[in-house]
Amino acid sequence: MPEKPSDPLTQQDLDSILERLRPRIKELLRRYGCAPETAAGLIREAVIALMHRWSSVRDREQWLLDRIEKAVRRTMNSSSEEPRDDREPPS
Amino acid sequence: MTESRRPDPETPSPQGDEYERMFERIADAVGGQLPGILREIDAAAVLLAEILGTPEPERRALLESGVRFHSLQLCQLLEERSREAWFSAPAQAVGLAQLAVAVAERLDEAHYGPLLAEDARASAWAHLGNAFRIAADLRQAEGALQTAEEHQRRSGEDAYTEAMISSFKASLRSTQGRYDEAARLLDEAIAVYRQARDRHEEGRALLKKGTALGHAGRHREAIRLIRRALPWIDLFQEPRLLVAARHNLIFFMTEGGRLQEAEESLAETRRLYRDLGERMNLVRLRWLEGKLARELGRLDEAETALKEARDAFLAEDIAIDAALVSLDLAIVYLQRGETAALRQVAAEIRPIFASGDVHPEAFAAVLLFQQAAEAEQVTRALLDQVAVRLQRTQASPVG
Repeated sequence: MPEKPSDPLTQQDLDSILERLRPRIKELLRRYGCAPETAAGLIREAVIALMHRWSSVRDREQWLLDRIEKAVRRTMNSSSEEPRDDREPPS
Repeated sequence: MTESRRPDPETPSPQGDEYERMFERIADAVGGQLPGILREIDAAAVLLAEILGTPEPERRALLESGVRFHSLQLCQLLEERSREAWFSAPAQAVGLAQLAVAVAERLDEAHYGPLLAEDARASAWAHLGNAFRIAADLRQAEGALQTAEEHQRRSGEDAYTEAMISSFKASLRSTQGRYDEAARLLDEAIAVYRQARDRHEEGRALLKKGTALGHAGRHREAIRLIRRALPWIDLFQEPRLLVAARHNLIFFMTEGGRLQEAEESLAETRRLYRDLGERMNLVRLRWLEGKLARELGRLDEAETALKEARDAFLAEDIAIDAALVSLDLAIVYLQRGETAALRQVAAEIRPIFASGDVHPEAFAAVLLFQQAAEAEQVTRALLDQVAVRLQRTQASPVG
């Protein structure tokens, strides 16, 4: 694996990535029915991972979106296996 | 649990404002982490210099004892240094990857989060696996890559790490002659890079797949895949990869008997080799010219080019390539019926393999060639078979 373009990590870059991705992330969270309090931790973890991998990721927006989707899917799939409080009791 | 419902994304949600507030909180939280990460990035270069300035036997103890060394950025720098040493100093590449593993295993999960720490471990073990493969320790390579996969399963969210492990595993399968498996693993990597819209890495994976299939004798597929890879490779970012791709394309055209096409492509590519200006690439160009000239029946021209290439590899102690060129030269002498020259070629590569620092499979292949030359029983089929065994033991310049 070679070196990737190495522009330095800045607050401005991070803010603009999050700003540009905001509608797509919101759409993704709605699609999976992921509540904001659950999503916040997942997104924060993904953004911090991106900050650590800044110089090795070429398309940072796509990378971040993919990573958030994976985390949301994993979390929502595992939570849907748990007993649901809105389920009808067996008759 | 409200989280598991699937509302229509088009319907305005009462959560809209909550999502907006969530983004504000995230921006504040990551902004707060930024100075720390930037400090870690700066410190990593200093820590790396300190490690590399320490005598090798003491490096590991230094890493284990000092918490300041347990840094994700340092781990990534050690991996980068290991990659740089892959082709020039394989044993050093293993040592550096072992240090990356030592750091990764000590990362503080409370600081980085368990997923990021697991991902770093997966990446470090994958680098160690690939370094072991290049250093010809296939058993250790297999073990390290398995450990990488276990960590990756626990992390599971970084597609790049997943693709990297698949790609390194594919290189191991190619070395083992398991080309179909290598191609399947590279398909996984290609899918990841395509999804991530990383055309350059997709191009590299396509090139690796083409090269694996080419070594399996499937020259047509190899040529098709390498042609698909070429437009994705970023010349400005990695000119060496583009030269490697064009080199392999011409190589498989020659092997597949598409000599006219190979000659035309070679004419178009010569300038690229020269612009890159790397001496060993120019030697490889000479080798390719000799091989193609031989297939076109221009045996004198082939002999001159191949001798030049072989002598250059011998001068640099690049054993496998020297042996492979010698086999190409042997085919020239075989075609001319010059058995004495053939015996001499076999004898000339012996000293470089006597050093013992070569892949056992390569050593066995060379021995087979020498014994056949001494017994005057060399055939084209035998030379091709020996070449295939030698090629498998080569560290691919594709990465």
